[in-house]
Amino acid sequence: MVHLQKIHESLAARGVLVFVIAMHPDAGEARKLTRELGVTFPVFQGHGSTLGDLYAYG
Amino acid sequence: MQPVSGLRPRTAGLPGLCVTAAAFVLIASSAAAQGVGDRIPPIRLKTTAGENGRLAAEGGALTLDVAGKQTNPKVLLVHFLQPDCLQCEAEARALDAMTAECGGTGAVILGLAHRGNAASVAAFRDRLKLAYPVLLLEADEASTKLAAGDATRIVDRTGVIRFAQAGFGDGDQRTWREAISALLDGREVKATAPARAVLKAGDRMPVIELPALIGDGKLALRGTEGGLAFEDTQDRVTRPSAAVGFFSRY
Repeated sequence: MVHLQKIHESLAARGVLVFVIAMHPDAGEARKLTRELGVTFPVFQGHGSTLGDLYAYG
Repeated sequence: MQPVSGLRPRTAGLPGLCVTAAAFVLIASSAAAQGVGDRIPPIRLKTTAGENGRLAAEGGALTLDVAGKQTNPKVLLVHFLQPDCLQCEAEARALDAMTAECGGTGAVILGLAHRGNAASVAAFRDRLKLAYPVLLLEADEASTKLAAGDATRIVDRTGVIRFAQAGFGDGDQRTWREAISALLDGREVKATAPARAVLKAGDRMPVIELPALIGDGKLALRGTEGGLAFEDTQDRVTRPSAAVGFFSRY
C-alpha cells in the first residue's frame, strides 16, 4: 500500500486514478491500517461483495 | 495483493480502464486448468522444523515422504498457500473442517506454502490450529507453475491431477468432496472447478460501485465510451485519464 501511495502521488497530476478494493474481512481493521499507512487514494470496501467473489482471487 | 486493471487509454474515447493487470487472473486460472490430466511433477518439501520431504508420482504410485516417513495417499488434496493471504486462511479453515471426515479413507489434505518462511508458515498453521500438515514448497519452475493462483489440486493415487482450481470461495468444499469421493470410489471425477470470472486485456472492466472504506457513502468507477468517470462519496465526478486498481488483503 505504501508503494501504491507513492504511485498515486507521482501519477495523480497526470490524471491517473489509483484505487484499492479492500478485501480485509474486518473493515475497522482495514480502516485503521489504511489511515496508519497514510493512504490518500480511494479505497473501496470489497469484502463480501460480488465483485470480490468473482475477481479477487489468486 | 493482485492488480485489478492497468491502464492507459489505447484510443481516444475508449475508457482507460483496461485490464492488463487482471491478466494476473487469467494466468491464475489457466495455470489451474492446465494441471488436470497431468502427472504431478516431483516436488521438494520442507517441514517448518527444517526436515526434508518430497512429493512425487513414481512407479505408478503417488508418494509423500516427509522427514523419512513415507505414505501413499489414495487421494491427495494440495492447497498451495501464502501464509499472509486472508483468502488462503479462509480456505485453510474450510479444509481443516474436512480433515476429520478424510481420516481412515486414504484421502490426505496437505498445505504447501509457496511463499513465506518456516516461521510464518508455522505461525499460520498454529494460529488456525490446522489438523492437517502444512509444509513449505522448495520452489522450482514446475512447482511454481503448479502453485500459481494459490491453486488447489486434487491428485489421484497414481499422481495424476484430476481436479484443479485457483482461489477459493465459500461453498467450494462441495466440489472438493465430490471429487475426493469419486476418486476413492474409483469413479471419474465429474466435479469441475467453480466458475471464476476472468478478465483479459481489451475487456471492459465491470462497474465498481462499493461503499467507501473511509467515510460515509459510496464510491463508483465506471468506464463508458466517453471515458472513465469516478464518483466520490460527495457525488463529485472526475474523469481520470487512466486508472490502476488492486484487490488488497492487507
